[in-house]
Amino acid sequence: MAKIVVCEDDAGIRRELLKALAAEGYCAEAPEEFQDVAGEILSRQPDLVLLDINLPSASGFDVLREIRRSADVPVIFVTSREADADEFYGLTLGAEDYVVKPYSLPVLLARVKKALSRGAGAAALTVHGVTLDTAAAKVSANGRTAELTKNEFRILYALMSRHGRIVPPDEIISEMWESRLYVDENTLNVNIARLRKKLREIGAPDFIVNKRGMGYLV
Amino acid sequence: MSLMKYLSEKLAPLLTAAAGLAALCLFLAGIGVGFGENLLVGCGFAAAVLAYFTVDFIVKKLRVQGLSASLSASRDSCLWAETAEAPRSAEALAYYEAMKRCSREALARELAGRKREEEFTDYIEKWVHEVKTPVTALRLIAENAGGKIAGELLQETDKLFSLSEQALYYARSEAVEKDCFIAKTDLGTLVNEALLEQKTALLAAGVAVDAEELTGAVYTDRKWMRFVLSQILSNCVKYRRTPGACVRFYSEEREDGTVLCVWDNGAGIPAADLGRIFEKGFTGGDRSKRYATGMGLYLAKKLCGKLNVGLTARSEEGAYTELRLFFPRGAVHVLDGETAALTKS
Repeated sequence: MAKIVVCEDDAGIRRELLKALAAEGYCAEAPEEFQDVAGEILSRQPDLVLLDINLPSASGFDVLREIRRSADVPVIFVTSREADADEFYGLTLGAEDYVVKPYSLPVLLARVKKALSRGAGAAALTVHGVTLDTAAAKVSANGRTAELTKNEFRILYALMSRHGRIVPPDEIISEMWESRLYVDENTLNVNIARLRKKLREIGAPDFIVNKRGMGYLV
Repeated sequence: MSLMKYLSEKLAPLLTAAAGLAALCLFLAGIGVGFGENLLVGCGFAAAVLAYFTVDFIVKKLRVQGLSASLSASRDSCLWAETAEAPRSAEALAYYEAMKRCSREALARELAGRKREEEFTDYIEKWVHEVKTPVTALRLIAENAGGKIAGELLQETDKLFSLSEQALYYARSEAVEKDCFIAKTDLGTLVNEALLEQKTALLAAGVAVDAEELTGAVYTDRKWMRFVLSQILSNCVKYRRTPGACVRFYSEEREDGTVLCVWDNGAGIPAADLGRIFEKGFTGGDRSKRYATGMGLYLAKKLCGKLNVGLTARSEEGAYTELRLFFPRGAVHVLDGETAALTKS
């Protein structure tokens, strides 16, 4: 279970972020003292840090610089400062990503997932005997293979990377918009129907389970 | 200063001189001076008076001309009084001093006003910055809670954020150059950021988006341009015609630059209104009953102007609206091309 430390001085955002991260299955912690933020972070040995830039005692930039002296943990800046110069500066300091407030939760969670999988370089995802080739956008099972369109691939990727959890349509749509595939719920349903047909053809019927009113489950 | 004006001003001294001349001639005639001598003295007197007034007129006329020339040549006419030469005559000097006092007072007020404006802009910027924290918290609370009400809350939260952003960009729009970061920007990325900002509204309104084939890049400020596109998109949502509403993005490469088009099949704009859509506060005839501030396109046009991007609109009422953003090819492109040529050789 990945451990995520959230450095955020607003109590409301902190509470909600911890809730959302915990619901996603992460072990999330947040310091409530900001005297020695870098020390607090390092002592908790996290797998990922969500770092606000405007903190009470020091700027997030300084904190990151201090962390980098002894650890290579991925850091995502989460901030209401949106000047491009800030983003550029943050990334040159070695931040993994830069998310601007107000962000939407699915977007943030997708970035978190991406940052955590850094270096893992998963070229293929396998769930219940179905393998998704992320480089060639092909799905295979039982020795048979089907080619996927861009939309179908994204949908299947979103579901398989969250397997074991019901994914609401909104969340899939959000992730697709992030990848510049501007689908609405109707298009999503049509694509899922096609996807299921392809899965059936390669001998994996009912791979995607439709939970009425809640979402889809792999 | 015309001659007539001068003469009417100098009527009293001229009449006095004429009366003096008549009295002198009568007096000379009375003491037995002959007509010829009398005429000579009279002409001499008149010539002296005429000469005085002629020279006086020319000198004054030149001075007035110089004055208006230096005023129109001065870079800041508010400060001109400070550099103007003091006049010699007592009356003019009194006026001069009075003018100086007035202009100093006006300058002081203008500076105070400018300071107030700057402080206000700073305050708005801080406020919008601060309001992002509760907006983010609201979003998170709604998203964690889930359900139908959460979706509605998210929509309202987005509206709230969008309005506060509008206030921010309005406050900043006078000093775009202070906060501008021009870089090569992929059109797909630019449009994607604006679409993500308006995602909730677009999906809720059932507006289909077609922007997947967009290619090309322009040199611009990402943040300002995202705001402009976001304003245009928010109009696409407001003036949509359902069902089948859609918005399409495409670009045209031209010799002198790149055009980014935002096309929608919404209500369109009546031909009579097309020239006025970029005016401040313009919401159109029957459009006014909808949720509109008349600021979106006004700000978009203003910011585009500052970023040297041409913003124009084409429309047919009841059919379509197309907003065209023209990014002219500038010196940066040339430089870029040269660098490419250099690396090749």
